Amino acid sequence: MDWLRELTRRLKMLTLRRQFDADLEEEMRLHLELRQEEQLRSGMTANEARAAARRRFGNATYLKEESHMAWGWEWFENAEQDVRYGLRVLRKSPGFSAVAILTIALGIGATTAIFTVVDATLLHPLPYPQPEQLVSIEYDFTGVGARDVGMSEPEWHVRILIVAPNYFALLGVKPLIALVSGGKGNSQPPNCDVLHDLPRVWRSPGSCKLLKNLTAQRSHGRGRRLLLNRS
Amino acid sequence: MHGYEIANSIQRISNDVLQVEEGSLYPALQRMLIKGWVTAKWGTTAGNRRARYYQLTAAGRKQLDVEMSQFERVIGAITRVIEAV
Repeated sequence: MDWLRELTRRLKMLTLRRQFDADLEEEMRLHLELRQEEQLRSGMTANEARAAARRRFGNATYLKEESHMAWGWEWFENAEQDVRYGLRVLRKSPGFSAVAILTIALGIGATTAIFTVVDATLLHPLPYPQPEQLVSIEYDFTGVGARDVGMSEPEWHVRILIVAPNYFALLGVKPLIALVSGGKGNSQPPNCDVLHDLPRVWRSPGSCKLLKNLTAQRSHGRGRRLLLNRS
Repeated sequence: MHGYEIANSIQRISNDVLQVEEGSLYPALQRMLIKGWVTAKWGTTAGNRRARYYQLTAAGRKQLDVEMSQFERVIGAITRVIEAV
């Protein structure tokens, strides 16, 4: 625990360092004065006594600095000074500062955004078995001038995905909650009980209505599944 | 003792053989303060002036013993070498 006590002493010096410098100055001054008085008593003139006292004491300014630095806060005080100087310069030219800060902010923002995209698309593989075999099929309808039209159902913004019945088998995943509705000869309306396991936003009467509407719209023809993703 | 007294007593006890640059006492005292070997307290001198008085702590005394035994070992070794010549 010695190191802890030592750190406490050092920290105390750091917080009281103005007082520390004043104290050191005072005790050195006393030392010089007492020596000077002693020399005076031995018959020197005042000037000679002062010079002799100083000679014996050494370089007071240097010794003061060395005493201060012994506490090991030089790096901190230097950093503090640098930061202060930096802030002063920034305040002096606000236009330049604003441009610099904006540039850095945009730079960081853009880099973060790009990395997020790269991280999600390139660095993390898709959470499906054999993700490299998944392809996206797009099509050009030259007749109507449409290009790169996706062949699959769009993903709904409310995270409701309406997919073909073999969607999950193809991707090899299991949905958290899936609702099969409107299959051949099976047009029973969806049961809103499935919504109870979902986050609260899904449990409102509005959600149930939305669910029913969606499945009703899609229920003719082939069988459809409605996926409500928890994420 | 305060700084001036320490400087004087070093000189007096060593019969003026050891005359250090008196000011260098202060950085050394700081290092001992950090290590907890001495403590410092402000007081008043006989001439009624404010001075900082230093006192050896228990840890300081222990450190002194360590330094003394090391010093004696070195001095002993040097003496033996000189005597062998």
